[in-house]
Amino acid sequence: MNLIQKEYTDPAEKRKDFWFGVVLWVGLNVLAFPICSFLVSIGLSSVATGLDSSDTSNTLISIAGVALGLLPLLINIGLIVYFAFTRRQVALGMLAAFGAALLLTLCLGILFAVACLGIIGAYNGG
Amino acid sequence: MSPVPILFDVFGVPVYSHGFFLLLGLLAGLAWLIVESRRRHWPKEEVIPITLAAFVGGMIGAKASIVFFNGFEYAPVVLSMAGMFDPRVGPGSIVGGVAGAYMAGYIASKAIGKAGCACDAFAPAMALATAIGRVGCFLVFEDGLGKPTTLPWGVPLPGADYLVHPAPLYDMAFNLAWFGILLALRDHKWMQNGNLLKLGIGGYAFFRFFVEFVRNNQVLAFGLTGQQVVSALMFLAVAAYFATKSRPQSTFSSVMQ
Repeated sequence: MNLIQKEYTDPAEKRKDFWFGVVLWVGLNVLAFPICSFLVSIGLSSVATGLDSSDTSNTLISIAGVALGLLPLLINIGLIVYFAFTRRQVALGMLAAFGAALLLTLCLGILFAVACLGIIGAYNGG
Repeated sequence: MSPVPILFDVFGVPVYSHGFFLLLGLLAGLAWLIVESRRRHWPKEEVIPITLAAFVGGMIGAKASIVFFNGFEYAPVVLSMAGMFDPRVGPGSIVGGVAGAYMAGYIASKAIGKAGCACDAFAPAMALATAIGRVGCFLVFEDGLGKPTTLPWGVPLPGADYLVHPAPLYDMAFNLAWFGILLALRDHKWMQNGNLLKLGIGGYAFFRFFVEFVRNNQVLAFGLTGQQVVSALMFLAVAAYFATKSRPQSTFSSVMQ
């Protein structure tokens, strides 16, 4: 695939693409993905109730759940990398929004007891 | 000796040790990166995207690597966007974070069309951030600190009648010393164009491989933990890189001219 990098000649154009990236990231992660994952979880639970409770069915359902949970992260990474090589300022906007949200999470982390890995494992049945 | 999960209170609101030192370490690393970037006259058009990419890539890598290090049962938490932004979930593994940050920084640097690598500014910053962050790991007795020991500096665990290795303090001490060594080497003619960063990563990987023997991480195969496998691969990659380089890179002063 031959990706062509957009050349920015105007600072206003750069700003527009940057803010487009920010809005795109927020739109995807605050609106689209939570709605999709809610719908998918409803779909998965209705599938799960229709299946027998064998280990194979449970494993398949859990793998499907993890794969669907992973999808938003992969779409985020894919879009950032794609825009990095086509419209750099959009990628920068998405990265800035992602980075700001992660930094906010780290700041909130000082107000919460962080669960160690053993606790997370037990919480998930591991 | 007991763990200190809460460092202090602010108007009755507890401030937790782990999160506090993690954030402090990252901010100190960022501050050092800014100072070093200015010293190297690294333009902000390059510093900002590469740093942002490295930060986001590092955070994703740190969490995602937990699936490899600890098992698939962690996947629903560490491989989801919800888990990524849950402040109650631990930040993940430094080894995975370093690998993720390096890959993301490399992609960003290619995307902005940078020919050489000015990423050496990251090397001491990473060591400093890790050294500070490890104080929090020690205060909360993360992962039970380390394996039992009879050495005089062993630390008593509550409820246990034996002493354990204070593994986070080993990490902190190494990273402080490594920070000093990287600072001393930063203008060396062989340590330019990305070589200082590679040395920084290789050195930490070498140390981490050995310190894992006194930590409580899960054994993956051949008596080695996942962190040891990745550290060994990182160290070998860096060693192979330096072994195949026969000539020194251009000096920092000549790059600046």
